[in-house]
Amino acid sequence: MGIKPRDIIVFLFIWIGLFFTGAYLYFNYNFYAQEGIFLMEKAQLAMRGNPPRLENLGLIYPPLPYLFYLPLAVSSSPIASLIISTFWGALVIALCIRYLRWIPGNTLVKLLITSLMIVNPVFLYVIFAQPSQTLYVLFFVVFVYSFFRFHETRIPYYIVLSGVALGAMSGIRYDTFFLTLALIPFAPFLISETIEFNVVRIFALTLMLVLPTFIVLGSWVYLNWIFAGEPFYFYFSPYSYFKQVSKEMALRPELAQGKGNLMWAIWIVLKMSFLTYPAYYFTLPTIRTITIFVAAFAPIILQIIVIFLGISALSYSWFGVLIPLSIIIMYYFINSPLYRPVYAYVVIVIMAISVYFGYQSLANSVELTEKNFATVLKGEKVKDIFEEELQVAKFLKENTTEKDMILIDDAVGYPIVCFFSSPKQFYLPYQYDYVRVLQQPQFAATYIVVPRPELTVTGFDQLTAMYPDAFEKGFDFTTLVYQTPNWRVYKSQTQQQQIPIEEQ
Amino acid sequence: MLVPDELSSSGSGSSLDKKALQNLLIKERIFSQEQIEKIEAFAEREKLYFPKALLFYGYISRTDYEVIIRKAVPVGKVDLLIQEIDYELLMSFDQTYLQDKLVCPFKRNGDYLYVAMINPLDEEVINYIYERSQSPLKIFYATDVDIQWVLHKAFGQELAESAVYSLFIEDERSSAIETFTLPQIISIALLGTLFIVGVAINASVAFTILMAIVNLLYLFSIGFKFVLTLAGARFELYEAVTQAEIRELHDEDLPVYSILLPVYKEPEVIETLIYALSQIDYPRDKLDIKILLEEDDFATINKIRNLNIPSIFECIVVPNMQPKTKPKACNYGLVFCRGEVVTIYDAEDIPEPDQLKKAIVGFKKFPEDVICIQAQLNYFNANENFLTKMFTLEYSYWFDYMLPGMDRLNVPIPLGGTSNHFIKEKLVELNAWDPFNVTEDADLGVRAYAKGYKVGTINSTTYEEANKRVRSWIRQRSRWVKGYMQTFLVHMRNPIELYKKIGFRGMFAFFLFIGGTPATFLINLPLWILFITWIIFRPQWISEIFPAWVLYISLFNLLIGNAMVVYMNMLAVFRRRLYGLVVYALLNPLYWILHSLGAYKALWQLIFKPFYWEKTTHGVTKVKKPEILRTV
Repeated sequence: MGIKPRDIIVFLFIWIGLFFTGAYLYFNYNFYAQEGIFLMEKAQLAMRGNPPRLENLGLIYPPLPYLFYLPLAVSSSPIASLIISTFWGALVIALCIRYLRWIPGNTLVKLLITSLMIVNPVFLYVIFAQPSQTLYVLFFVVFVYSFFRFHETRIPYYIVLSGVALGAMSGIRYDTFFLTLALIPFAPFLISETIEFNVVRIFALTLMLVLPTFIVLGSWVYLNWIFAGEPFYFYFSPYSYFKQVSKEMALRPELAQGKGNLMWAIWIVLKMSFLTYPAYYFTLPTIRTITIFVAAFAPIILQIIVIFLGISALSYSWFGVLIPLSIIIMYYFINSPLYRPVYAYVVIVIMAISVYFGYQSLANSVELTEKNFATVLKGEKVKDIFEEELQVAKFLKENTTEKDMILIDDAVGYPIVCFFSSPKQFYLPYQYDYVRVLQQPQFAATYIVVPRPELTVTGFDQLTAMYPDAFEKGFDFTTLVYQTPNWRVYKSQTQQQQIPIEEQ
Repeated sequence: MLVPDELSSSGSGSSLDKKALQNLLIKERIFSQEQIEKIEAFAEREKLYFPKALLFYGYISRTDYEVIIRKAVPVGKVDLLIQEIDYELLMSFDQTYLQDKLVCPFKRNGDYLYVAMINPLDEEVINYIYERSQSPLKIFYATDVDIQWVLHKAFGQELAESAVYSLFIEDERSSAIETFTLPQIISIALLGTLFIVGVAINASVAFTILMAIVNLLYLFSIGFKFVLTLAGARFELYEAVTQAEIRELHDEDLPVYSILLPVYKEPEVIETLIYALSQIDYPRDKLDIKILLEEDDFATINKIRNLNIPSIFECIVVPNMQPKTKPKACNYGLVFCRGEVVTIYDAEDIPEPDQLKKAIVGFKKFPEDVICIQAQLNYFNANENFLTKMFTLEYSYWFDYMLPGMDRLNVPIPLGGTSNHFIKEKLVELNAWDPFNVTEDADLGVRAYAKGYKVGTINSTTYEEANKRVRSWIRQRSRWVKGYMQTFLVHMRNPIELYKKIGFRGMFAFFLFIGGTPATFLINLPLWILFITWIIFRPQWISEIFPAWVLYISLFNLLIGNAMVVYMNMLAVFRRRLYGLVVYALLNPLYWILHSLGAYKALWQLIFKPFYWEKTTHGVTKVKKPEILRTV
């Protein structure tokens, strides 16, 4: 089935609808994607940094989401990020609608299922607040669906799609690598369930499935090597995603207990996923083949693995991936021998109940943005998450000239850099001589922006690490010119000589 | 014995009659009365001379026929290939009659006229010659091949010229007779000068621009191939023609099918060829198979002369004329084709038996603008060595995934060298093949598309012999790449006109495949050398010609691009269940080195020997016929 004009119309309709909804939430309730600001800041550095180069994206973070954000380097508005995230979200919904079209059954049932998916708070949260997670969901859906289709049709094309999707996922989240590793021993058995037993054929298919992950990550290791001099810089860097996530996990006892403890890891994942979207579990048992069951259960398996390894700061919103997956599972549910028409309505009721569960899981979350979204759904305004950073950026914009250089660490200061929207005026960690500037800021920086140390607990901030008292006491050569509860701006009183940026 | 006494005749031939041969065959219990009548009816229906029906439709082998004839009539046999021929004498006779009856008055000796005949028992022919010459005759037996050889040599010059120049005469701009036109030479010179001036002014910028163009070419090429592969792979199980549709065909409704078999210096594959032809599932009386022999190919001619197995073909001898190419031979042979549908096979080809019927079904069910159907090509000696494995992977990928993908996305399909099935009328309309183009198939595909015609694909395979020797492979590849270069140059003589004819999609595909393929082969080696130099020495000047955005595209091409191409190549193993080859796909970068070597040879030949046809040696494989049959 090729793409038909009506598919494109449906997609555009959904995209526009999501975009305006997100814009409405932003303008009226101050809600927008924190991650979107992060991605846009990196895009600005890549395209307009000093110097502009792609490794400014940070060789630490998986690259794929950032590449889509490069065109947004000209903007600093959260609305711009919404364009991309709602695009991906609309793609997920449009895909699911296409799948639903193939399911026999009446239109009302399909309409209800689609509506309940779209209004699910967790799903909406992912689209509006987590652009990279939305992209991840998109590829996860493609991965699972393609695996299902291979099971039905035995056409290797679907294994290729599945493999490519898995490779793309590893370009979005590193933990996908562990899913691939887990698949390697099991994939041959899963594949052989579908086709006649032929060792070489099964080997070939397994290779097609797992190779893209190794290609993507292998390329990433190579890029780390040539740009950072260390092939595993993304792991060893002080800004490493793994270090950050480990710190976040350590702050959450419930998750931390799962490290090295498989039973606990299983328990916590099942609990959180059930509390987020119970409808998923009502469709799983209807699957009668191991292959499809394993593919459908892959998100749960993945989270169990990463919690066991201690590299997951799992939040409820992660399970947003289960919502579109349920749509795909519905197809098999309806074609299962267990299916009775009334079951579809049972699942619809459970999906409706899941809307409430989803809302509750967000409202009770430890993540501020998740809580904020639940608050917004109640019709209440929330405080702009980057209100202070916006004020700092505004101050800097009004009080600096193009020749003034600003020293900051964008590990936590990225919103300021993004909202300021002129990355060439900043000394940032991506620059090779950042450490030199840090050591002698009086000769380089006109302004120094310092965060409250508590903000840097789960991350790494070189500025704070080198000058732990800077927030309270400032520097010998500076005066305090602006402050908010969490940020202080100091201005240097000495003559600055801009330290030339050296290229490696 | 050159001058027999027994049949020194004054022309009356009283012991002979019109049906003497038929009676002889019955008398010798070679055929029954009923069989003879059936063959006669067929010959009459197809307006064929009876001996031609016998020999060209596999009723009897050439050697058996000779034995029977010479046993019944004690004539001598003449080897016309070494005989002195009086062409002036020969050309005084009616060419059509001589061709029809396979008779060749070849010289005078004293009062006698020496006549070579395929059927010395035919009184009517003897009388005809006598009446025309008014000379006593000395009759000899000669093989059909010999007689054809002389007749084509004598009468075929005009046809040969037409075969060579008709495209040039009808559509000069589409002929590769001229490799570079003056505007093209000027353009190349201008670009070259511009680049040199740019280097002189600012070498860094000049090379940066060059790198940018090169990398963008790779990027688009890889992306396009990926899309095509997915489009083709999605319908892997789709059968364009099903067995049920073939079963619905009735023999009596099938058209006459012409098969052209150009061969040159390939005596060792003739038997395989004959066997493959005998397996074709098509009514024998509706086949019109022409083996196209070159005038100077005595080895193959001798092989055919001495065939002791019945064979279904007629020999057409192509007069010696430059360029000596396969398309010229095919153009020449096309004139003699009786069929409504024409196809080409190479000498070593083994098509699947139902291929012709699948093509017929294809023409019935595909839209009317489909005038050509391309079958898939693959190799029967896939596992012979590393080279054959890689070659098989390449072909499988191209024919099983790329071509169906092109078909689905409606882009011009570069035809394969064989197994293209044409509606003859349309082929003639297109002025058939360009004899000056060494990949006449690719060129014809573009010309067909430019005229609004389409090429369809069917699920049928012709098995060939993959080159197992590196030097031979490189020679073959150099010809293909040279042909692509020729095709690109020919059709880019007026790019605007081409765009108007084939549209954006067609132009895009044309650029990427016909132009991009040789370009990427040529660029590959220098880029790999550049990369290795940078890895080892990290010279500053390389960094300067790769500014950030160029560097990232090139890194993408290097890492993801190459990996994607290798990955897509791995997909090639599935349709034909060649699973053992999947790991070899990972060795493609080594294989690509050979492509590059072939491309450089092609470039050199394009300039200095554009029409030279690198002959591929066949019959080298150690894979035996039973193995081939099992494969088929």
